[in-house]
Amino acid sequence: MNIISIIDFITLFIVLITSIALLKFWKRSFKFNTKIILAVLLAVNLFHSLSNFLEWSGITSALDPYEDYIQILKPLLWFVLFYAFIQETSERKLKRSEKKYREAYNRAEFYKDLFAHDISNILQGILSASQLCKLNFENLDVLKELTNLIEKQVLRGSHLVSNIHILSQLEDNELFFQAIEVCKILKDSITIVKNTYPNKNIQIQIESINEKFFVMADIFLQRVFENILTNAIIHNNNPIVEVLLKISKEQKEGVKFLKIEFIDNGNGIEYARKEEIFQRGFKKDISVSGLGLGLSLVKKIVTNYNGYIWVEDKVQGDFSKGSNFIILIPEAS
Amino acid sequence: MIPEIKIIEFLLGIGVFIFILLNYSKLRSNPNLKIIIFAFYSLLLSNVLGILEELFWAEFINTIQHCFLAISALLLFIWFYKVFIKKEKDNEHHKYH
Repeated sequence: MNIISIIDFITLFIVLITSIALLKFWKRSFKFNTKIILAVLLAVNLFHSLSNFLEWSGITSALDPYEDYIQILKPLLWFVLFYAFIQETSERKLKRSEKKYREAYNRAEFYKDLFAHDISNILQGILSASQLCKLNFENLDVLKELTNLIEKQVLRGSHLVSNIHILSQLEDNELFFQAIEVCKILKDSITIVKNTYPNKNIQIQIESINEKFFVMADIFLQRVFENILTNAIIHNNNPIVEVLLKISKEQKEGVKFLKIEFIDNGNGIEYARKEEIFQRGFKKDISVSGLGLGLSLVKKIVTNYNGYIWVEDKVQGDFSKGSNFIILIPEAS
Repeated sequence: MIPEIKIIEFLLGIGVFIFILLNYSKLRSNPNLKIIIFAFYSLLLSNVLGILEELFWAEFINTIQHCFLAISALLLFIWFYKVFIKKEKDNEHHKYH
């Protein structure tokens, strides 16, 4: 055994291991064509190194006459391999670009439908109210009620525009999260929501194991809380709106989450609509409305945080007693 | 006298080398590209040494040539490991985190 035969044996061993690994992990990575080229290249390498080893260890030179053909194949196979890489890259780029344009198209369609559907409804509401104002010009009580109605519709429109603005920001911007103190944001949201509905009797309690909790989030977290609290107030026919906020910790698939529960005494959500309420989005039917764009936006924000959101009944099996919106957001380490 | 087959192999190798240089921007997005390119360069270098061994220091250059063949095989294995095995392991890891 000379040094060259030892080197050739090592080469043969490495190529053999690579070939076996390729067969074992055949289904992974790359397209079929590229893997076939890689397999042929490895087979050629295997033959070359085997021929070298047999020749230099003095066992036999029987493979030598075929080695010339194999040697010519090697650079050609490398060329085909690199060419296949370029083809794969082009296909990937094309797919990405197709996906991007499909998303842009869906987004444009979504905004178009949104304006056609929601803004049209809001304007229709304002128009009807103003027409009724003309007819009831002398009845001050009716006039007051109608102007309240107009005000509500304008506020609805304003919220819608604000939500669309946030949605477009979420779509366009790169995600950047930081450690945010949850209780402070929750308290601010409660104040804002209470000020928005001064005529409602709202009782919101916070039940928490700690004073301070930090999660990885951004400025839109407050929008999430406001949206859920607003829904708890709007969709509630009780004289006193009661919301209990429970904050605890939970571990899911090895990740530490902060669990925030919004338990209300509102109208509740039927079982069939529990998933639907979060689904109004670019790829979904615009007719899925009710709680509106708000909850789909909330879901989008929470999902961006790598968090989870879902809704359960306050009393298991009886949705009419109220809802429990549960949010999991990754804790800041 | 240098065997014709070695010269043809070398010229083909140079052709692939030029192809890589011209298309590097298109290749760049491929995972761990540098490793596989260096595997090819090692092979090309072994071709060059295969020609040189016919001219001088035959035994020494031949040993180096075989070393580069081994390096090429090793780099191909490392590339394969990173692309086929490690990447999938990482993907599985990310599924749970």
